[in-house]
Amino acid sequence: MRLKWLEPEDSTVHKSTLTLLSDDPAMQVAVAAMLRRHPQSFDLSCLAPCDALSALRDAATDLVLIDADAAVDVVVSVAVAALVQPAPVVVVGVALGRDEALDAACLVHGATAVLAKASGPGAPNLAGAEGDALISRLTLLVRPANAVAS
Amino acid sequence: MTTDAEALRVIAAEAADHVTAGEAILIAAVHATPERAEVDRLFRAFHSLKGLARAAAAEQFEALLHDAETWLADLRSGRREFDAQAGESLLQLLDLIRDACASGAFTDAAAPPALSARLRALLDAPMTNADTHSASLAIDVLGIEVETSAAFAELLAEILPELAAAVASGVEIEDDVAVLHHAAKRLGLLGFASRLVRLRGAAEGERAGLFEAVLRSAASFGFLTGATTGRLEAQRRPGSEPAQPPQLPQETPETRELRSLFAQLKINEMFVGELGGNALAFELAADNGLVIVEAVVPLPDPDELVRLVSTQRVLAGRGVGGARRDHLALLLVAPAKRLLEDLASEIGADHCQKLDGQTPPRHFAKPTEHVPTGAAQDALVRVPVEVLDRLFGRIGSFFSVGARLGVLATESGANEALRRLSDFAVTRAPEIMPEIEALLRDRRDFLNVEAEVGRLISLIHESTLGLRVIPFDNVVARFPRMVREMARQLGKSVHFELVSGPIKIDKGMADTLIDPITHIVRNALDHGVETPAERGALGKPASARVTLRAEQLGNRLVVTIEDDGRGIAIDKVAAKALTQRLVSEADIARMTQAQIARLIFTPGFSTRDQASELSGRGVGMDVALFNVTRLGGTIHIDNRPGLGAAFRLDMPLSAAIRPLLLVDTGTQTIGLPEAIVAEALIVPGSSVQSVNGQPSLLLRERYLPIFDLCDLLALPRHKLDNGEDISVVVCRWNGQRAALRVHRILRRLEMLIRETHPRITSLPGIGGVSTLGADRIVLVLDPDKLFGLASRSASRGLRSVGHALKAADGAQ
Repeated sequence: MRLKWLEPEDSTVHKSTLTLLSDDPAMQVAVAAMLRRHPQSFDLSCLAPCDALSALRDAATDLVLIDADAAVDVVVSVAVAALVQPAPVVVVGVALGRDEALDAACLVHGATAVLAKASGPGAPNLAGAEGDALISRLTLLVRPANAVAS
Repeated sequence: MTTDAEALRVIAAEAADHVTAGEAILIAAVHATPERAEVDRLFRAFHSLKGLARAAAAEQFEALLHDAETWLADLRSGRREFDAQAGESLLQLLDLIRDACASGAFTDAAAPPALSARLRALLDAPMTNADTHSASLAIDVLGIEVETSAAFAELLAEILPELAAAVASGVEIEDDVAVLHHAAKRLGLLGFASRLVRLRGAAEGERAGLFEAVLRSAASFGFLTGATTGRLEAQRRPGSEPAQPPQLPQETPETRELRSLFAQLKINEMFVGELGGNALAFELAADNGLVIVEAVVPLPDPDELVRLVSTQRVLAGRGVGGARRDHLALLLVAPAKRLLEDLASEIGADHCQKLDGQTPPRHFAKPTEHVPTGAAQDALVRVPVEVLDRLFGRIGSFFSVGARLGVLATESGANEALRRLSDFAVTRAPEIMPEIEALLRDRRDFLNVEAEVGRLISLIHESTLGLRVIPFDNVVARFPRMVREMARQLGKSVHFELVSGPIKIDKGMADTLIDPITHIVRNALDHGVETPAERGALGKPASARVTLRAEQLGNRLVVTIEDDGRGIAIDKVAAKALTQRLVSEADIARMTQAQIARLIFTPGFSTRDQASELSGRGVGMDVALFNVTRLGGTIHIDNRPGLGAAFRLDMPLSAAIRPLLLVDTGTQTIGLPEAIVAEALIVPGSSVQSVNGQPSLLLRERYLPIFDLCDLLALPRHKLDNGEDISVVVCRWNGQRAALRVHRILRRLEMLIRETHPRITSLPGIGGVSTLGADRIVLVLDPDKLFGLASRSASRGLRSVGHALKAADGAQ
């Protein structure tokens, strides 16, 4: 699924691709808004969790961001994503950071990081400071050398 | 009880909820292919059960549920179609889980090999709507053919332990890794393959860490496919450390304060996100000049969201608006003085409300009515019924104290004594009037306090009744399944319809009611419903219709069980009743068809010459009537010979505390259920006359049979006051009317009917007992028994003028 507001503004700049696994339009908008504030960071591709398996196999991505609040079984989503493609898998959700068992299960099954949403399932503050903090962490995962150099 | 045992009990209770939810959908699927939403619910039920099995370390169940879930995933994706055979296997699995939960053996229960094989066969069956490639092969959750997955798992099981040993000892690993890498890549497991590549190229010192990542991939593969991968053996090597769980943030005083604020405003903190990571939340907790506003705006585009977040202080957000989720609900922090209209206009909100703790937020509240799943479980507490029963026992005692206060308020002679004292003092001793007025004031205060206590007791009653009520749907959820099984055993075709609204009933009432409904439904299927051939010959549809309908009418629950079978054969019932000497021919001749039909409630009655497995032993229908009567209810039969029968069970929803009219026989206080009292009156003794030997009350120019309550109940008789006014209660029950003569009519009172010993309920006319104050027993009448006694007494009166006439004469 590719939404009209996801088209890159400047196609000459090579950017990494962030693949968001979420069928929640509010979360999709929040992540897109976060990337608007950091135009050099990532291109965004959104996948519905039910299409994740085939889409992740077919399309190369630099980072998979799983919305735990939109997944039927977040641990299964993480395990599938970590097995079928090589990019780091990051999980975000409102329960993460306070559900020790869920955090551990995600990490055991291949998540590179589990992060708590600080402003609810729709995470609107990703369009602000919360997004700035997340982008820093995601960028470090994808381009550690560049991030350190900058 | 140990913590583990407690945890297992909670798991079992939760599993039972999912079993019930899944079963209802599967049963309904027998008659109609399930909708997508139902398939989704079914999938979630099995998925949750699998999670619970995993939590309970019930490995056999987990494996079966995994297979079931995989099949349902195919159904969900449209690759398979629902069929009866699959539904039957899934139901058997649910049965197994239900039994295991009930017997407390959820963890240890063994899976019958036959069921495992059936589920496996379902998975191995070709997919109906699969594409050409996958049509002939089963695909697992990773999109890999099951056989290929199994082969890769075997390869892992073979190589991983060797690789573990090689990594630990620092020897060559190239070949092993290359084999695994090649296989993983062939299967499209590029993530797995990339970890192997990193391991292959790693320096010796880094290998252990990278091998851990490979083992985790193997664990994920096993988790998703259910295959054994040799990971455990590989992990047992020396020095291998399990992954450490992340450290959770410590709760700070600010977090606690914030949590308390959210609780006060009825906000579900799960919707707010990480409390420790939201700076605005702490600002809110610290500043009393701020309020939280809930607003709903059309889903903004990314630029609009950036603007909104930069101009407003957003605490949380979530997508709302049904399936399309085309709106964004927000919790905003705003100065208390800010006008709501201005804020709504600025952000273009469709809805805007300040949260004040009174009205819960629309989109961020804790759920009120919710099947306990997922995160919402934290908002629910499961309380054993026995704990609630103890609580109810204590509330019952409180109720009795309230009743004693009520008696002191209304039956004490203090009012009359004070009035006479006051009259005396006004004319003879005016100097003591201030003291008398003080006493009168105290008396008024006492009456006010008594009224307030009564009101509070009513409120406590209302609130606590809600504690142990359960949805009626849960009570009757078993019937679709039961009907289906029975119909199959009997070779009949039955379409069962269950119609019940959001009715909740007391758990005790549910336990008492389940038997009557079971017996009546069973009887309907066994005796009422014809075989398809018989129905065909009668011009009826081959499939019979049995309906179980529950309605709440005011404070009453009405359950109707109706079928379109042959109805009750009155001739057959009469003949059997004569054979079994339950009635005489004269009785039969006098009885209406409705009265004859009710003979089926007589203990031991059966029209069957031989008992079947399902009915015909003559027990059941009497139990049905007994239990419904115990609940203060009635059973009405609407019999339509050849067309079917309907049993209407009508009972008060609150059986424990019932309104009674208290009367005094002179030696004993009696409680008459308010439901049977038509009127209470005092009439001249001369109104009672003998009609054909039966004492009768002339009331509004009509004669009504009258009975002395002491005679009916075989209680010692009070002294008759010949010629004076007498107290009479006119009762009405099932279309019959009778007058009861009592010594004194006391008052109407709501009383707690205590559980009664069978010896007390076997007393003539008595259905239960209650207590009034500390030492007064109230015998509560049972309407059916009372009218039965009256009927027999009237019959004796008609046969011989004897006893009844004497009573009537005495009264005149």
